[in-house]
Amino acid sequence: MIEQSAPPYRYRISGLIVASDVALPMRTLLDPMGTPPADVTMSHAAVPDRLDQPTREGPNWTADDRRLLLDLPGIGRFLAEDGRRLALSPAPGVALEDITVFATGTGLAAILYQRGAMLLHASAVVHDGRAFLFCGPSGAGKSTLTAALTRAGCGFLSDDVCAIEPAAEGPPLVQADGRVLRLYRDSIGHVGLADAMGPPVRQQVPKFHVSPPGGTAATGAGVPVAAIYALMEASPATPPGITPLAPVAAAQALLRLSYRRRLALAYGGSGGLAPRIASLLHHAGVCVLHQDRDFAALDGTIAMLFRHWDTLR
Amino acid sequence: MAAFPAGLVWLASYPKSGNTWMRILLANLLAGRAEPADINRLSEEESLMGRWRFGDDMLVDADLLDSRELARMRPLHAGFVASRQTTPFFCKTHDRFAGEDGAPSLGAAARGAVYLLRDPRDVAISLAYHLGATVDEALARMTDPAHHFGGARQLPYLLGDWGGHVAGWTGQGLTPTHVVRYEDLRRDTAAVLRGVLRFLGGQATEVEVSRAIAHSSLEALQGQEAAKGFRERQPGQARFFRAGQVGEWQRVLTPAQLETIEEHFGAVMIRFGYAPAGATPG
Repeated sequence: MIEQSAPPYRYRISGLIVASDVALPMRTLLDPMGTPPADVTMSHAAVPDRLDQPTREGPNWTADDRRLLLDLPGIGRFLAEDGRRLALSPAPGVALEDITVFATGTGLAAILYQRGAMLLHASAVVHDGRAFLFCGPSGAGKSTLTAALTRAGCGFLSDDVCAIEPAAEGPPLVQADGRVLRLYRDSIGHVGLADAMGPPVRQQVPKFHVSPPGGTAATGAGVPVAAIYALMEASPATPPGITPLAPVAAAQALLRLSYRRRLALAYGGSGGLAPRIASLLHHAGVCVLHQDRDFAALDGTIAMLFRHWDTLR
Repeated sequence: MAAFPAGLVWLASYPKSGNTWMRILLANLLAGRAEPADINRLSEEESLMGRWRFGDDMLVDADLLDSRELARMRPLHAGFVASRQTTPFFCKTHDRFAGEDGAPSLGAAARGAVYLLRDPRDVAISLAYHLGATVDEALARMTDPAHHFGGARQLPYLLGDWGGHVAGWTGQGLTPTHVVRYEDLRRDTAAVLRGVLRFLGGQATEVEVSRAIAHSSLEALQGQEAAKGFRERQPGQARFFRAGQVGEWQRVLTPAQLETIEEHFGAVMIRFGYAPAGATPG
């Protein structure tokens, strides 16, 4: 019998140790000797065309209690299974490196949800030992604001996904998503991180990996949540500012701001999600942060946030 | 309260052709309330043109896809939504009917489409204002068959040139399409709206139609925008709901600009009753 060799790469992602036979760009490699056993394996492997009896489905995905099959036509297929195994199968002619971003995004989110996690579509920074989260869909300005905050002295925690886990006591903890910032070229220039620019996120996509000042959080220790901001564009009717949400509106906002909301509902909808949201709201407020989308307004937004954080001590 | 059959219906147009007005008219008809529908609650986040809805349904963010990959997925998305829609869903789109590969950009599963078009000479003025650009800059976009549009909330999409947009939607036979001219909508809103109702198999009383029109009047919309703003307004734009004039081009456009428009779009203009400047009105 031939003994199967262990996947060569190990990473810490959202609190999990991931053993992978696929190299992930711009992530800190763990020393296999010094790390605990892997929670999840990620591998280049065959993925079926469909699930036999899915209980949920979308335009390009099917799911049952233990599996998610995601099909991105012309890109590849992904199977997340039992909260433990993630398989990637690139479409013909597509390089494996060009599809890892979907595996570490939606694929790992499915794994985390299968394990009972709560995920927010948020970036996060650390200030005075507490985590501040910035939620919003793609394009809301999460990464740019986070980059600017790290330039202003905050620690970097997450770029796109925040895994929230209960603490033994006190506020729930945020786990780093283990990735660096991903920014468009104009954002990189405006926040002054041109020297930290790495390779593009995908070959044909003009978004780039950027190392945050101060590096990434690699210890695996969660950071207590202090406040959560939903990013919205300012308008004449809603000028730049911070507006706290009442509890019901805050709970609705958090559900809407879940990372891959339909997966949150698929795996946590039957009673798992509501108590977690309630627990989070017990310890951390949710505010709407209206900001101008103009880069010139970033300094003002940061000053406003620091003032707000002073009131939350 | 007015009633419409369930299903996905495209409200399709080149930008600045009355699409938002039609959407507000239908929203007011559907709501059937004594007070006007809130222009900031038109569910644009649910729009199949938006990044939020695409990511929510497809489990992948559009900013990680190139234009070919996105073009492959959007018909899948629209087809899935159309097949599951249990309520009336009037969805705005500015997508050209056919994509770069010639296949329908949004598939062909919608139950129908209302296509709005407006005199391209007035579109040019309105588009220039919308973009904060000159008329010549607006015309450069309107005459570019490969022009792509999009934004922070909106998916990137192939808009193409004005003439190709009109010809594509009005000349296809895959999605049943009712064509509405903006000028007719301005001239006799009630008659046009009744025509749209008939096409869609909807039902509404005369009182409901009149009330929806009153709630969607320019004065009412400008009043709402002045009081509460409008989420779809462009950054830097003083207001979204302008006068929406018919024939403004006669005072504003230069002979060279008129020549550019007629040179590119003359045939389509004549087909839809937009007589060239030198021609006898017909």
